[in-house]
Amino acid sequence: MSTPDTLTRELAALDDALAGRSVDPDLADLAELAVAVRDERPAPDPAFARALDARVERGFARPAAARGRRRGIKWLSPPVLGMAASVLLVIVVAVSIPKGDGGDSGSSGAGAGGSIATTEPAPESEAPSAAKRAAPSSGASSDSAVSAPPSATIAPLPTDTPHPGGRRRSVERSAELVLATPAGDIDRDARQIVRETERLGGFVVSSTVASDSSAQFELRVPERKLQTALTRLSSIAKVRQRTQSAQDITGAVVSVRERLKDARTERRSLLRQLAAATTTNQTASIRARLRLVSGQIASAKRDLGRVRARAIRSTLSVTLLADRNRGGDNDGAGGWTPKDALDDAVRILEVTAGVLLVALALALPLGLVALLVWLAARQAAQRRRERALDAV
Amino acid sequence: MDAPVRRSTDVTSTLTVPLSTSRTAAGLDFESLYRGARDDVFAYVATLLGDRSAAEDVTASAFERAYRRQRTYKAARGSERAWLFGIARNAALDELRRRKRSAALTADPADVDAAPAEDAADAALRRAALRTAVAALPPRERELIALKFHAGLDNAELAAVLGVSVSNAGTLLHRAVQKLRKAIDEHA
Repeated sequence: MSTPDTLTRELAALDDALAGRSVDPDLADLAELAVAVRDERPAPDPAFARALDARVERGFARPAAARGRRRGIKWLSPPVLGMAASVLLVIVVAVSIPKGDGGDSGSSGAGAGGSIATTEPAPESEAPSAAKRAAPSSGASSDSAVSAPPSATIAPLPTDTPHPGGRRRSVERSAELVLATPAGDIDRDARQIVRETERLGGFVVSSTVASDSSAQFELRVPERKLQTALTRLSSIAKVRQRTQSAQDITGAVVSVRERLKDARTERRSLLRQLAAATTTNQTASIRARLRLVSGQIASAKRDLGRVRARAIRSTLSVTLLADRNRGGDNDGAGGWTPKDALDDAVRILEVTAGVLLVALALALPLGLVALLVWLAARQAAQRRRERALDAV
Repeated sequence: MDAPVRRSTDVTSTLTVPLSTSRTAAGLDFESLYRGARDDVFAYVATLLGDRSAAEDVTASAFERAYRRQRTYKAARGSERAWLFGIARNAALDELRRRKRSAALTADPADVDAAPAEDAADAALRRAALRTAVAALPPRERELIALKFHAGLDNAELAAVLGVSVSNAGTLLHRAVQKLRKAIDEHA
């Protein structure tokens, strides 16, 4: 076993011998061996050396087809594949991210995006689709809601259709409108909402106006003028959200009418019995019964009036919000000012930064995984190479 | 008086490589590297593989790989020669894996037909014994001998090529030399 000193001396002697320097006499045989081994080194064949020189001179040029193939394979290295997968995933995620912030598209025109149109399922047997609403089943009540982006044309809600029994169907309609206006225009727009409602024959059930922040209205407008009201109110400020719903209340109307009809029939019968009554007791009993039935008739009439009123006047909820992204005049006429442009630019930058952040959050771990996989693959390949030495 | 013009002497061949590919941004001068290492790479690969024909293919392949990857060379990771021999080593090991067969040294037979004089005969015998001993070494030791004595790498370059520390490379080399001496003694 060589000591460290011996090892160092002998290694130095090898280097000295190879460099042509003298070595200690006791290491002369080692030096001789080193030189002998060096002198036995295989030399390349001159023809091979010339051919290789020529290839180097040409820059190891390959045929065009092979160049293209090699370039293609080169690009398919593990890190490149990993990064390509990451980028693809990021693009998919970025594309799938909803644009905008729920309908606020800035001041440059009609809003893009907005709330997604949804249709709530009918609670009973009727489906909410237009086709179903056009021919609903007899006696069933149904409701439906349509929420549309501001720029979308809202499909007409079900109209009164003839009931199979010959009567028209009764439909209760309601709508919600969310408007955005510059904070300074809240009061002005609130007054305009009231004016338009009264102009259409409607009235304000309740209102709450907080200057410079928001306003809330519950309005009743004639059912036939609901669409006109929506159109006019939508022109007052920028529409953030518009939702309409319709509920078939034919069943309720029919039920109240039947109650009224039954009560009237009973009263007529009681009146006939009263005319035919011969004893005081009979007369008193019938009169008491008549009072009861009269009360039922009055109650049924009130209920019928209420339920008819639901179909005749529609409920319209209007929310007016202060639009922080709009400070200027909101006349909806497309006055796109430099400030609007700046706001839009900032907004675009915000969205872009958000997308980049999401992309980075995805790309970093994926890139890291790809890098680790690549390093592991490289190490595995090197181990396989090393095993070739052991297998020889 | 004009200064004397310095000219190259003893130039037997010139190699022309396009300037754009001659030196990379990392400072690798492929032309001079090739000129200085061509025979060393061949000698190393031939000793490791024990097959001159395969060694030629591997040597050419190694230089081609180095040429195409010259931009990946980083001086901070080691010398140009160490980088080149790392590539050559991988190419040689790939060849070994591909062949999956024993790499027996196919050294040229000793020139016994020349009826040498007694001293010359002894020398030829010693050389034959040496070749046989080198060929009989386990591949890892044979590789060390080839890198040190045939390729002319110093211990630091040896360590860089094998991916070990310099002291470890020295230990491995010393062990390989001891084995070689022992093998020669046995043949003698």
